[in-house]
Amino acid sequence: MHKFYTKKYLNISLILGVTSIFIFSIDLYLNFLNDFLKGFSMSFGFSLTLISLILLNSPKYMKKMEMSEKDERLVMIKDKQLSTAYSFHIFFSAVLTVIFGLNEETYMISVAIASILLVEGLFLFLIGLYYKNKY
Amino acid sequence: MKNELERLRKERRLSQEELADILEVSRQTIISLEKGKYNPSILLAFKIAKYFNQTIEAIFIYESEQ
Repeated sequence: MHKFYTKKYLNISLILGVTSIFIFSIDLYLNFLNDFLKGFSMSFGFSLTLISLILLNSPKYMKKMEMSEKDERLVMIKDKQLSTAYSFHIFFSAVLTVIFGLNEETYMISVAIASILLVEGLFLFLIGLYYKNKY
Repeated sequence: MKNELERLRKERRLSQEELADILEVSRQTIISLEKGKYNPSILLAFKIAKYFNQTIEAIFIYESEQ
């Protein structure tokens, strides 16, 4: 059976938003948040709740998203789009690693990008193993 | 791969939008299928064949790449 991920994610966003507003409301009495977290919990909570509620109650948007999740051609296009973008990302990161590695002042950036590439490579390997076992 | 989708749809006097709703795909997918730009999965091919009461081979005609 088809799982409707958009609805699931929007419900999670709504719960996060309401939780954030709840934390902000409690803080009005107990005063345990600093100024930054006060502002963050209020704006994050209200914007997330509002966006989630608007989208969840929009039949047009929900129908469009359900279709885009179900339609095999759109799913294939999205998969191809993501894999092409990821291949470009790897190529671009590798080029940047070499360029930053050439200069002594920027070699730490090179190490940072190379570390990210290493973690991504490991993740790619593990996800490959998972799908090879699954199919 | 050629297909008879457009002919079958027109025979049933269905619009692309109506067929898309029946098959639970987007209208763009129907357009791509009719133009032969997109080959459907076996599941969608079965769904189409079942709806038009035909076999898959009667709707989708395989052409060798050679």
